[in-house]
Amino acid sequence: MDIAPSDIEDKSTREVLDELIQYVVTSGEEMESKTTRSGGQTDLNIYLCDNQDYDIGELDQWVTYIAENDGITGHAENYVGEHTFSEQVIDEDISLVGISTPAKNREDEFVFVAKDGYLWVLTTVHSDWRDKTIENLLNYLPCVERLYLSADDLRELTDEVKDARVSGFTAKYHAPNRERDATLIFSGAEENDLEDAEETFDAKPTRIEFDQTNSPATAIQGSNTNEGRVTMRSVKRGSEGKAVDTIMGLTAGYQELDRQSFEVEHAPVRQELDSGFTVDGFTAVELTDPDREQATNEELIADLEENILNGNQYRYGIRDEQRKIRVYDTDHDELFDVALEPPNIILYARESTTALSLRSFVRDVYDDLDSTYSLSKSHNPVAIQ
Amino acid sequence: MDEVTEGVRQRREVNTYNLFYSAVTERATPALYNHGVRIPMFFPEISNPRTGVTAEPDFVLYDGETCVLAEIKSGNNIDGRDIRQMRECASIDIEAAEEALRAAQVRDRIGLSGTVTAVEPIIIYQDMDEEYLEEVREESTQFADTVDELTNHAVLMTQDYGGELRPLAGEFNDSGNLQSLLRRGIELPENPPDQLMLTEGMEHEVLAMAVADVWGEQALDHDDGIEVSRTEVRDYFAPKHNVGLTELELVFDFLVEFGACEQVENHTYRFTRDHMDAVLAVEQQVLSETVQDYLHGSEQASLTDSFDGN
Repeated sequence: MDIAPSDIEDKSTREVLDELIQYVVTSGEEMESKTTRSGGQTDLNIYLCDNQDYDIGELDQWVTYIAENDGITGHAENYVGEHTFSEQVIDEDISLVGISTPAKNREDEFVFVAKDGYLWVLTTVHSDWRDKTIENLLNYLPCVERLYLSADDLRELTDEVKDARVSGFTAKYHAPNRERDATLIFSGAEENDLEDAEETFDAKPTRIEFDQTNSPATAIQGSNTNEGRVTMRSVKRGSEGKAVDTIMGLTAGYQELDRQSFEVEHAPVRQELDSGFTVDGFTAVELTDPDREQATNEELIADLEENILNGNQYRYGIRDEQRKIRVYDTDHDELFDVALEPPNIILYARESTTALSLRSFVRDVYDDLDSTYSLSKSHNPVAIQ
Repeated sequence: MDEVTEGVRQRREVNTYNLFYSAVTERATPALYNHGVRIPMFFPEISNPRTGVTAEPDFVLYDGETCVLAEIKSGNNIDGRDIRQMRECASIDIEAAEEALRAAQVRDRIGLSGTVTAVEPIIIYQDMDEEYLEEVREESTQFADTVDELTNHAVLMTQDYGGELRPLAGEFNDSGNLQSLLRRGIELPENPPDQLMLTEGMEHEVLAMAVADVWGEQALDHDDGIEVSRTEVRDYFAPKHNVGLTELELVFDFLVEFGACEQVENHTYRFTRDHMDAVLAVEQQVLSETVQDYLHGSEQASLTDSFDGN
């Protein structure tokens, strides 16, 4: 990516995308000759993040914070030690961020767009380097977290892409507590394969590739993952506008679905009254119906301890005769309750809980415990309208 | 150890409040909230100036028409006090209920008019069902009389985890929307959220849990933690809960000793994020051993026991 600040100055998000789409525009012939998706080419990637506290121009401050805060893990500290960072502010919600890796004599560029409580990071850097640079940075920034979609939401989102068909996918079955104790990764080429994988093995999609037509030929090749990343692989010349529409639609969809799953709109808040008091607000994220046999509370707690709670991120106390676990997420300074209704797991928001700690825990459950849970949220006020 | 400790008993009492609370949440079916029902206040004192009677129900439910005064019991033992409590609730008339809703600023906070067309006292026993009621009624005429007297004043209901909140005996005075919802029954979650952490008894164990919960959690929002004095704790739990300052002294001795907070001045304590490990362990601790025993040891008692045995 070789972007000059003037390329994106005074531009709307749409226009910035239009500028960046140019990196993946191809001629019709190239498009048709592209039969494999080896991942070697330049793709345009967009990372979508929940932005709790990052303002454009503050990168330096946050990097210093990571370097100096004792509560932050060694990995993060090493990471900021081994790279240097620059942020060139274009306007109040757009900046150009450079991450250099002196040991490899490399500098990689990223466009940051902050809007409506979200942070988008756009880049054409190759996946090998994205892992080492931006993905780590987003992981270590305490104020920012990548969006996360359940498998069902990811499918729903892809289904909404206009004129598109599923052309490939990665799906995962991970349920160590099922009697067959298996972790399988499926890769497939066609939508029917995905349906088969889901029906036969309960494998849940984590990445879906799609081809979009500008009839009759394929015009746009893209994909999206459950971890908040949209990729534009190639766009046929003349279809740039449609590609930008697709990206805008997908990002809006991600944000909406993520909000539906994790945002705590009704945290329980206590209020004093002249006579008595109230506790208003209720939010629960329910992980239900996994592909496992009934478990006891003890078994489920042991599984959570072994796979999730054992890390640096969490402190916890087992409560109510092993019916609940109160969890302190040290990354986000939030508490929430995990109620056990084996085999289901219910997360109850406390007053300090936001989407950050709920999302983070749910993601750990999918990645490390069991990918076959379904997710839903229930919430309502209790006292007020 | 299968024996139910004092802490476990208190925890179970608290759970019965939380189970009832869950009936308004979306995890219940039907969720009372979705039918316009709100909980404008917990543990109020409602007085009827015309009779001089004051009722102290645990919960008030209100849907713009009906005002339900609910008393929650953790067991199945109906005693004279229960009858007295429900008699007090039954003596609250429409005007007194409206006055209580006005004092709770229902119109501002909830947007409901504050008009009441019916007051319905209910009493909920956790461990009761139709079969039990029938059996004991047959065995004891005294019990039958007690139930009859109770249901003169209130509808008798039951609730259970993953089961239902439903009436067992007695009739509602009126037939509004809220009454018909309760009559049909509400399916409750297996494991409701912890929103209320105090029982009526205010024993050391449940008080330690509540203090650790409330101020331990608030400490997360402040880099330097949060300070609280004994009187502030007392005021926080007033008016329903009359927390004695001497009780609090013992509870704070325990919390400091256990590492859940530190004493900064004579009667002031600080909770910080660094205390969180201990804060999270308070409940498990007090469920297994009383606060008194933790501080002073149970050796003295067991020593006496063993001498007695000889």
